[in-house]
Amino acid sequence: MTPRKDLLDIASLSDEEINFVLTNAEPFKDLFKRSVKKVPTLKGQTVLPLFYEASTRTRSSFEVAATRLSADIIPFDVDSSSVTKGESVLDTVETLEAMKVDYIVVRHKQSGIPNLIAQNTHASVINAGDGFHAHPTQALLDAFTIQETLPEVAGRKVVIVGDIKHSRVARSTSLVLRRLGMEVAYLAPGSLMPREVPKEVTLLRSWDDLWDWKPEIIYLLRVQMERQREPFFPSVGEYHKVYGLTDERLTRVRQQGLYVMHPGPVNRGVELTDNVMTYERSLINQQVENGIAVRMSVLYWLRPGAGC
Amino acid sequence: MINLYVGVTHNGLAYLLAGPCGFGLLAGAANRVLGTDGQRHCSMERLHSSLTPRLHRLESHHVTSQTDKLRQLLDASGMGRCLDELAAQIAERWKDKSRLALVGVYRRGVPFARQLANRLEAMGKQVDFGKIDITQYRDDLQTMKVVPQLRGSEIDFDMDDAVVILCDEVIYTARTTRAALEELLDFGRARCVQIAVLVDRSGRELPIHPDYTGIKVDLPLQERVSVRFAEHDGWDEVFVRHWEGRPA
Repeated sequence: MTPRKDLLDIASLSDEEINFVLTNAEPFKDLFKRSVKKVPTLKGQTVLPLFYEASTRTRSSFEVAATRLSADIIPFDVDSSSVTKGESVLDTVETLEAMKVDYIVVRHKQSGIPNLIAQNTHASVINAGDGFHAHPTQALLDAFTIQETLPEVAGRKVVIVGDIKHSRVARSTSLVLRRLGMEVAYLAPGSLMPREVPKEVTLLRSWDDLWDWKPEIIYLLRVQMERQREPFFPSVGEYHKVYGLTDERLTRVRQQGLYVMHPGPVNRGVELTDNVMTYERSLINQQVENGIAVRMSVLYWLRPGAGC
Repeated sequence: MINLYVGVTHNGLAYLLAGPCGFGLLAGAANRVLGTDGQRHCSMERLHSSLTPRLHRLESHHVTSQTDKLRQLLDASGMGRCLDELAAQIAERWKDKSRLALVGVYRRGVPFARQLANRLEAMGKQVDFGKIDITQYRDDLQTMKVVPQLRGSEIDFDMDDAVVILCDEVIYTARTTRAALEELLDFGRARCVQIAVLVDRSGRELPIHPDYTGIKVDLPLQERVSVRFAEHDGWDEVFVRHWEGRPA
């Protein structure tokens, strides 16, 4: 496969490229079983996480991935840097460019910032989530987890439940799963359903609709409390009762042997009940482990300056 | 030559069981001469002239893959004899109770290791088997035009205290072998690691040398050795083909 400079979204990937990343993730995951969980692939390369928005999981996942590829990680704390003093994103990038950083992992609350950075640096840029736009590595790890769980994914059904409107995860994951031939449905309160939904996606109104649709995987989104300046639903308790995976619904999920996924971190008692965490067909921990393998696979594929 | 006869004496039974292979071995020996460094060199002209008819037959079967073939080094039976001999040498060296493991380097080191393992098993030796994908350990990964699809290494046995024979079909610059050795050591602390090759081609760029060698050849830069294995390619053969040569 031809190396690529940046990974900014799923939409710009070809089917072959998606397949390349997912196939390579498998040998990377096998690496975790070895006593030495590290390969010299990115020896001498530097990776810089540039997180304008708080994230512990995604950031550490990228850092573990980079470490296992023998890259050097440059700690860069946006809050304490000049950014808070009003330095623009491009000024920061210029500084990083002078430091000869090879890979920049960007998260920003504003959509399109990773693209802007990518256009202005020789380094490879990986979008680790921008606004409501995209979160391609999350999508790829979700796809990998499903491929690992189901023998054949084409034609299988996944329902995504929650705040679809504000979710870049929903956008990217839904897209990659459809590219793999899966059927995708959304279940969300009217206020959290985007105005425009791709026509291949089935819209569901309630859990009753969901049972009727017969999905094999239920993908719960995190209720993003920090984005709830204006309330989109009456209360957290109300959300749990109407849209959450309650104990009662979990019983039915268990009976039908459905799989449950969540991008983390979970809000217990909101989008899901505590008991989901110990449910034997919950893929949540597997998603975390696979996140490292998939991010290693992405870093392995990207090459600074490729195509320039 | 002396080594060869010792091999036959110690493993006479294996060769007798193998039937024509024993005679093949002697016939093969006639085609080899001792080089100044004590290694066996293949007398290519003689091999080539004696095997020309077979070469034509092979070419008619595999036209597409052999268009740039220059000459044959070993035909199927010659390869079989070489493999018999290598397996005999390994068995002789490790006739004690050592735990033997054969590890093939992708791609064709794998069928090569498999062939040796089969022969060792036929001699009653128990051997572990592994495969190694050196991609992540390559020293030219950052400059390759294409990012290789990974196959993944499979070492399912305990490396600690095993005698590991690293198998590659051709050793040339030894950069692949260097990478393979480094990766192998990440799996555990082997008691001993040795290198087996079917063809030792001149042009080393690193000070690494095989412990078991099938044939040894000197080739100009614009030629390369190709090995084909029945289980991988559909036929057995070692031949020289045209190559643009390694970039300087």
